[in-house]
Amino acid sequence: MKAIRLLTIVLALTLAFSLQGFGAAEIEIVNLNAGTGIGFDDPGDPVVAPGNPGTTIGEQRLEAFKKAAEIWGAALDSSVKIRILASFEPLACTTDSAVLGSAGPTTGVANFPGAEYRDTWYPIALANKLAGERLLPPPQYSTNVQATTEGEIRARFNSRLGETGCLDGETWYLGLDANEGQNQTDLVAVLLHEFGHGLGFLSFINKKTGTEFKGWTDVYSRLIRDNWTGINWGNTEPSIRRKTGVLGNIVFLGAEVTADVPSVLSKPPHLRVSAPASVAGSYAVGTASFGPPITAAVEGEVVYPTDSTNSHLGCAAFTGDYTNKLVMVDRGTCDFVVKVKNAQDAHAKGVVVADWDPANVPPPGLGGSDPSIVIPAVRITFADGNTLKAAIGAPLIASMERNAASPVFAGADTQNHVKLYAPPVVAPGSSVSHYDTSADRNLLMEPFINGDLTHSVQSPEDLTLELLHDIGW
Amino acid sequence: MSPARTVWLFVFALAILFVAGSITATAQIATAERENKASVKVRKATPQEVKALSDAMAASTSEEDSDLVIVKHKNGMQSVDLKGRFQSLAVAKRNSDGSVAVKCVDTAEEGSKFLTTNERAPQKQAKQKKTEAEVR
Repeated sequence: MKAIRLLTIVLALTLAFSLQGFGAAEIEIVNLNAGTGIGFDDPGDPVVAPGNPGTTIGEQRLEAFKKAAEIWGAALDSSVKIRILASFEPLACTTDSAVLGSAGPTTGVANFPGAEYRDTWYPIALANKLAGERLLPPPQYSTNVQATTEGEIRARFNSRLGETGCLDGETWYLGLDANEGQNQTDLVAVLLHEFGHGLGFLSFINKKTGTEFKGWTDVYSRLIRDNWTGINWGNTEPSIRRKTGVLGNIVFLGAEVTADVPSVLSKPPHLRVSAPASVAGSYAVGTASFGPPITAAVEGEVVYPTDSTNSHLGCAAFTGDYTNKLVMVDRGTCDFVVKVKNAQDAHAKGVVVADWDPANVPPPGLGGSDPSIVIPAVRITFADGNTLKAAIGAPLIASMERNAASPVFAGADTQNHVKLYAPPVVAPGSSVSHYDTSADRNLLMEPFINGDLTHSVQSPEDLTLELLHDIGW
Repeated sequence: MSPARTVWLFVFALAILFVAGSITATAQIATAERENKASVKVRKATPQEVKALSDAMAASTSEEDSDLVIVKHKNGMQSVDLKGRFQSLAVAKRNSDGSVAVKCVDTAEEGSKFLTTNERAPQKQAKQKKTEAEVR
């Protein structure tokens, strides 16, 4: 009996250690500031940072790095330790802008044991994982700028943020709970994003020339396709890559990302008009950066009232009561938040802003910030505004809601391939190493690092881990 | 006074000191935050400042590979030390409404454009304070 009990304990312990090892990778932060008195070694007083056990400002920065590494380490699976060469140091700033930091792989590797594709570049951390061993022992390793030891990822972040002359008024948020304040940038979120690039969320193809790195494609670019030509970036010419990389219709083909799109992305919002029949249908909308998100339908009669200055702009208080109504106002003269607040004060349940610029198709969003706004607002095009104004009083019944009938998810194509960021406004020098900004919800690897990121790197909150799986992690 | 009562009084005094210290610290932090907000001014970077930022971005985001050396290993593997290039760079700027936008760029050109223009990101749901869109 005693032997059976002992065996049970041994088996349980073995299982526990096996589970601990499964689906995890060890990520080490190599502190390049050690002994310097700056950066992670800064002995300055700690700041308010929920969940951060650091007792100096330097230790708090290091703990934020460790937190980001811990999140990635728990999500990835590798038997080879990943070492991030990390430093916090003075980087470029002006009073209203700053370089926050950077990260990327230290080394590119091809044709190594365990590589899925020949003549294809891999970031070193992924190559090590696939080989099951450290491929490059010292001293052949990287001799990166300021790197004093070897590692797979290099990360440098700005210690000047928070000082006068460096994006004045903005500070790093060193809490570990993704709950930064209005004048703070969440360091952990930025680190998760930049570490993602270091792990392989990047193309080595030259964005200006379209040429492959040292004559070979890379594992990320093999999974990029231009939807207009149907050409895969792994099998095409530099001129075509250069052209398609700035025209905004490239997608990521990875199977795991594609499969998880319905779990992560939403159908796009729209304004559904149900009556009168003459104008019934779906109208495209731009959503607001303030107020609640559009989730459940917000339905009501659309009215087009004048404010106390006898204007449809809604820049002054409304004199009527619009309980349970959707108030339509014209764009112009005052900020969107002023119009929506005035309608809210008149008890409206939502606001539709009609654009004045016929060129705004599809309708852009409504910018601004006002935490006191608790009703949803959308923008419709100038043409749609005129159509709907003609039907006011019919009565005009509409609902702000997600468009369940849409054939696509916001940020993906009809086959659920997620779009990559390739805006026509930046040419040359565009980026394909991010998800497109049309993705909804906000994704970690969009170029704009948004304030609502949760520190999750995987479905159902995100699609970064899935992309890393698709390239071999 | 019993020993137990002495201990309780000591613990009580410590607790009062701790709470008082916390309140003072919180008040100092709140004051600092107010001062930060009061000091916020929006100014476009000068051409010289933009050039300095652009130069700083250029080295780490460089995709120049002509001088990077392929090392051929005995097992057929090839490796290239990227020498700190091919980095992705997070940059931040203050928007016209005082909020701060953060963007990750892969080239210095993209970074300079972001910092010097009213570049917008499409508005989506939830809090969007890190992006910029028309406010009027």
